[in-house]
Amino acid sequence: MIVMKQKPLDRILDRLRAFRKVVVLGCGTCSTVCFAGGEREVEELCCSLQLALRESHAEVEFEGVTCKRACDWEFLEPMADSLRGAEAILSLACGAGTNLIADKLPGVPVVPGVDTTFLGANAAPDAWSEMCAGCGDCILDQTFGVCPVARCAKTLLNGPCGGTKDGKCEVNPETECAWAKIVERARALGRLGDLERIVPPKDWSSARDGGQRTLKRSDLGLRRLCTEDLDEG
Amino acid sequence: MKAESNLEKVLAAGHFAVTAEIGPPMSCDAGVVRKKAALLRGCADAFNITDCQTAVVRLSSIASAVIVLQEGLEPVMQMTTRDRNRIAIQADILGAAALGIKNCLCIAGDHQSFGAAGKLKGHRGAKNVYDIDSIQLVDILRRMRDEGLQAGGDRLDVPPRLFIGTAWTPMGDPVDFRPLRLGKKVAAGADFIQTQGVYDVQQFAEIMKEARNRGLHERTAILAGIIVPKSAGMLRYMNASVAGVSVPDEIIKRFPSVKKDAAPAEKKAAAARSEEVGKQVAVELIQRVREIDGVRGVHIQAIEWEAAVPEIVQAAGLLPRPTV
Amino acid sequence: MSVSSKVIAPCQAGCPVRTDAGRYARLVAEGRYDEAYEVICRANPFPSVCAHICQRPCEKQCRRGPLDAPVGIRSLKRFVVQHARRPAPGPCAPEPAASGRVAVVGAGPAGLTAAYDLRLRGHRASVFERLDRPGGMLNVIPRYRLPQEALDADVAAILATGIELTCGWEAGENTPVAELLERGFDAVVVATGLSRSRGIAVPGFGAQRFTAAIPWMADVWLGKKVDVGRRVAVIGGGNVAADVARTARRLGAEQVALICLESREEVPAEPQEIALAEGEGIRLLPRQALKRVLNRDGQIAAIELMSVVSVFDEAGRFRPTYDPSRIRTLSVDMVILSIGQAPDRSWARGTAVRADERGRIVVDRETHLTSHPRVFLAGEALRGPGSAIQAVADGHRVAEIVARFLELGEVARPAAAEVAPLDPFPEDVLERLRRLATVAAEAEPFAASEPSLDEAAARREGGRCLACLAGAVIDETKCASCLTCFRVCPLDAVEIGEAMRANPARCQACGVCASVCPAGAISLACWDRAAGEWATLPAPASRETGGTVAVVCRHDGGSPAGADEIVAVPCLARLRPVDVLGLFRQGYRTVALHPCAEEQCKYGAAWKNIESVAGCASALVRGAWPEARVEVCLPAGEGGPVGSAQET
Repeated sequence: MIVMKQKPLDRILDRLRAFRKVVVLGCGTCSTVCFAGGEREVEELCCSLQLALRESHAEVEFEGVTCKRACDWEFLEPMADSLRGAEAILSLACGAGTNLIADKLPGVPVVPGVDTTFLGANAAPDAWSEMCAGCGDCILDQTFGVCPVARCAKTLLNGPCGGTKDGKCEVNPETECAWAKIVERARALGRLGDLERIVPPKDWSSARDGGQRTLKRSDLGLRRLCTEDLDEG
Repeated sequence: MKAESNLEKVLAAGHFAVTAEIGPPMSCDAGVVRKKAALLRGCADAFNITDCQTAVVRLSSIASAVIVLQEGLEPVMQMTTRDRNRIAIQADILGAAALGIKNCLCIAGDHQSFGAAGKLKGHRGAKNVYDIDSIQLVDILRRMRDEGLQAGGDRLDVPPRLFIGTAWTPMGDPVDFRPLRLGKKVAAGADFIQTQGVYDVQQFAEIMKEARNRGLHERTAILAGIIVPKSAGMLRYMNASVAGVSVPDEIIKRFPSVKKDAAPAEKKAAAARSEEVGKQVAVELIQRVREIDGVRGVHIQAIEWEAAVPEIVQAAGLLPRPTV
Repeated sequence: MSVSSKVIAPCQAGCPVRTDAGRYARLVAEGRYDEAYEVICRANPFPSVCAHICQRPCEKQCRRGPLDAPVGIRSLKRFVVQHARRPAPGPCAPEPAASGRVAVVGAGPAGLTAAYDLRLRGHRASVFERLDRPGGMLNVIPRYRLPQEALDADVAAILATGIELTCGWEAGENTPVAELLERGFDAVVVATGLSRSRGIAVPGFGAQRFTAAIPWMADVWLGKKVDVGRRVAVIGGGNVAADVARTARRLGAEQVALICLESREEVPAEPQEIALAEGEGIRLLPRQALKRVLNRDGQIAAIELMSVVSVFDEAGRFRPTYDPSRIRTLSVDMVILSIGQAPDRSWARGTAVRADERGRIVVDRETHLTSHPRVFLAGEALRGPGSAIQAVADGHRVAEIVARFLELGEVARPAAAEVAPLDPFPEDVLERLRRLATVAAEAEPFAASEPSLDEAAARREGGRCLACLAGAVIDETKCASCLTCFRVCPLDAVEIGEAMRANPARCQACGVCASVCPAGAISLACWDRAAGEWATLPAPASRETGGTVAVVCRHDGGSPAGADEIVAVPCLARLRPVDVLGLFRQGYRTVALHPCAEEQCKYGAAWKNIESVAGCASALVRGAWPEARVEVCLPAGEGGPVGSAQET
């Protein structure tokens, strides 16, 4: 899941200063699940923003609206009129959704209300950890399910470095050393020997380093049937 | 001979090798490097030049190494993978070799968040590279040198001849994995190893036994790391905060303690005594690790205290350094 | 349970008229007494009567029963009818396109209910009653159980809809039912009840003071002169017999014996009724049959009782067997038979209404229709002996059918609205509730009569309702399946499936899930947020200094000092951070949350959830208004210090 965190209120306010009519857009998928920008947060934020602006006597209109998923335009389309009518859209969707909104609505300034950080999994009801860096070439079978690209601060493929202390990473003592975990798992499975192989340098071209990535699944043959097709049948 | 560096020759001749460290300045003042070189001249067979250690910008290792060469000492250039990708690294290797540098220590390098353990601002927001790790770097260097090939496969007309080293933390967590990792470094082509500072000689000896079981001591030259302690406080800090360094209590107890509210004169005297004890401890550690089968030298680190090194090497009976 | 059954709360399923008992209990808990009265009256035109005498089948089904004691639903009803404003009976609907005139024979609970319903649908209803006053069998209930005012209030409200009532009218004497049909009534509903007393032909039964329960009780309670002996034997084991015995005691009988065929365990009267009777000095003589009455000079001198071996045979049929060798004699001077009632069928004379070979009226039990196309039967006359509320239910049923008959011209079987009660609590939920749900019952369960509750006690008692089927509802279209509700529910009521679902058999509407749901997908059926408790809150006097608004729990009804305004909500545990923010939005600078004390809070330590809501709200408001404050004011002795400003 994409994990993100709402920006501090003062930062959001700074970026909205110039506008009088703002649509606060929430997203019902990842943003909701990590309590960043779901319907509840939209409601809270509209309230907080109005509260913060009460002294300035500025007549700013905040309209809160939440779509099911901001990275699919069909979910945003029903509210497109509302969005186009705004002076600015405060997007509480992740970067993907926010980008899409900006792409589809070139005339409306889009202000991000959340900082999108990582692809992560849930560790506790209120905690998430980065699990995947989207490198595009998954080697989790070689590392016993623990990703050294996402979870090692130095993205070592032949780790651990000398900084492991009590199973924790020297960069952040609350973070587990990914390589200590990998070694442990290998040991538990009786496959420590697998780690003797020198893993060669990674081909990063499938990662962000290679430029913006796209995926096209022409193999699925997805197309909207039109009446001509039916006539042919 | 792979590079015909002094260090290589000393080791090949069977001597107990000594390397020391020169920390470049946080400025472009070559004079500082020269002064340190002058202090250390004759104390060691080669001198490590750290590469932006603790992620703090200093005069680069490769430039400092050239200055050290000009002073007539043999440098060990350090190359971290934190700041350069494989392209820049290989280019710098070619440059180093072209400038006469013959030893290179390959390490991943401290994460950019370190900033001198929080004492300096550093560049915490910098984008790190870590395109490759230290083991992959060793492998690349070896192929450049022995096969004349770049990492991507293109040919090198004149391959760089470098004596390849890397670091090892024998007592790092998980301890039982460390010998295996040493094996990987050796398999990748590490000619010499400099370990993290050793204080618990007994523990180190046990791990060396494991390394010997794997025959690693014969395929690479292991130099035990000796960090010269300045005070009990420094030892306690390292014991608590530096991964892979554990300091037995007996060593810490040897240092004089002084109350916080003691007079400045008293504190100064205690500090001076601590330094003496520290040097003594370093000498004893050198002597003790020397007895471990498979340890072929020591790597002495006296952080911002280069002046202490000649005295220690002398007292340890390692002077004069052999000429080969 | 069939697939098409609608699941309803067990109290509602147990009530013959499907009173939404839980709903009015919770309204009482929130201090909304008038609304509670409306809920009661929706199903039942006899609220005051039932508040005193209903046998409360609802309480027997109450899911709180296995936990500690059922909710005192009848006590709460009594509180409501005594403290709230009776809602005006709904305005009568305009006359439907095809409206009719209906004659109802019998002004008992069935007949009056039928007339009332038909009237509200716009038809015209005329009620004909044999006694000199309406109420039917309700008049025969002792006044110590059913106060006259209660009966009068209900009857008056019913008649106020415009029902024409004729008292002192005899259905059996001439052929008045036939006449009613000739007079042009489109339909006749016969709800004459069971007015004939059953008798037994024992030797000596013809004496004076050998009488039947109902006529005797009618004389007593209708204020006529009544004869009572010094030593009275009441024959019978039902509730009516117990009432007769207790009435005789009140009239001055020195010794009263209650004599029945059944053993003490089998006795059909409610155990509490027997207990009360015995408590008043009445002797219960079980397993005795009346063999003969011994008269002297035309007066009863004694009765002979014969031992009963068994009452029911193996198949459960009534087949008493006796041991004639075991006889005892009891010295009495009056015998009152209370062995059951039977219908008086003489009203059918002169009509085309047929009876079978045993004299029973031929009738379709589902459509209430007799063999005459315009004559319907309802109440005990159709169903046999039953309770008052069952008669009301039958009145509703026949009214529906007759209305359809009048409007559409057809008599149709009612659409079977199958209902099924909600499953009882799983054992693990009960276990947890024993720790969470801490408020003890106010009234002794199933007491035959209980003292009326005062307001505080009534609110506490209403708060004991566990809100069956009034709990969390998860809107699938909004739910993001984040699993937060699943993780925070104290009763593991959330189920993960194709969609997240709150299992009503486990949910107690504590509201924690609704307050944390990031998608705003969870609403509580028992808390209509749109009602907006603070929508009408006045703005604080000064915007600069703001003011303090205290949020209290409706169940507590307290008034904390020092607040400029007080807002009551149904349980603070259900608050969401944005609810608190909304109060700041209105201009208040300090929001003080006042949760109930742990032993009063229906959810035990709900204040812990309130603290986390306060923390979230504080964090939210901090960025917008640093001077604003959220305080959690715990009652003394709980958790943190009293009145501490928790997160500032």
